[in-house]
Amino acid sequence: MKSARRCDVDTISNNLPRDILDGILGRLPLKDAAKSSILSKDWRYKWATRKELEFDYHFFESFAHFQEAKTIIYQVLLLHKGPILKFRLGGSNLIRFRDIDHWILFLSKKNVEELTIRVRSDNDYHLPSNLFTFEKLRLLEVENCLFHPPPDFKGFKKLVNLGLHCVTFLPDSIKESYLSMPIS
Amino acid sequence: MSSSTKFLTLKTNDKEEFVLDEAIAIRSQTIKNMVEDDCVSNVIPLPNVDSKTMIKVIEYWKKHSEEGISKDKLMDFDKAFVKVDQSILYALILAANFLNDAEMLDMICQEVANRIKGKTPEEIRKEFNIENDFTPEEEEEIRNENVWAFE
Repeated sequence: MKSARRCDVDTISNNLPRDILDGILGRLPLKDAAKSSILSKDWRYKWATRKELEFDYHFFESFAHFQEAKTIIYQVLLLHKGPILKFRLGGSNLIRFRDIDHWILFLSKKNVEELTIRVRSDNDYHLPSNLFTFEKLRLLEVENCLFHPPPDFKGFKKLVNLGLHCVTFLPDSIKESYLSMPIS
Repeated sequence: MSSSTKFLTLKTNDKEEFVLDEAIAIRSQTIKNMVEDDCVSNVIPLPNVDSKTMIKVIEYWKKHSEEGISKDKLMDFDKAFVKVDQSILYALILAANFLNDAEMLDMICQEVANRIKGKTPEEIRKEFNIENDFTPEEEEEIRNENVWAFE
């Protein structure tokens, strides 16, 4: 309301440091967080620095059409600012490989530490080469994927947690070297 | 296990002193670091915390340090603990942040998130005193930017 008195201050932004406010917004479901953009000018893009993005079964279920869900993922990424430490994708068998390629390319500039890609498809998803440039990766979970790193790939140095479900290695011989990877 | 209980004295910014069992006080990572680095003299000053807030913090620490307390009882305690005025909640967040008690900070941030969740923008503005400084046209533009969130 425009009638708010001048001495009225936004109690939440005024009292809490930015990183705590980020933490609070991060605890909201994505939809509620995005809704905060309409509160005031100051709030418009606060939600857009969310450090964890999860597009799981429940996310896709909440839309009548898959197309709609896909558009929103693009929109959220387009508006996003700053690092994304955790990204989880899965729960729909309609996700097209080309879209995942785009999202992973986008994420390659976001210092991702935890990445989960669960593909539901009869065909393996060929993990794109830029995935192998994710230097900060600590956790990687992939399902129904083809793991074919470029020849100069030296491994994910910070990786401590690796989850593989129905993953094909190419060439098959590299499997040994990954499964025996020393954990530092 | 040490044979004798060690006590620490914590001094809030309004000069109140609280004598507390070290084993409880080190729930604060900040205090724990000071103890481990041996830079604790007689009194630990807490320049960012007032006594009113510290009483609540200690109440929380003591309850969460009780031996053999059931998960259900703790949950009930936590639920009642966060049922306070917004201003107290903020003071607790800042205290938990300064004292570096991740568990407590997490719980209170979740409570603030719960107070936002599911509310209409107008209800949130009212709760947190946020002035809507958008023109109707701008508001329309934002609704269009994130149509999915406002359905």
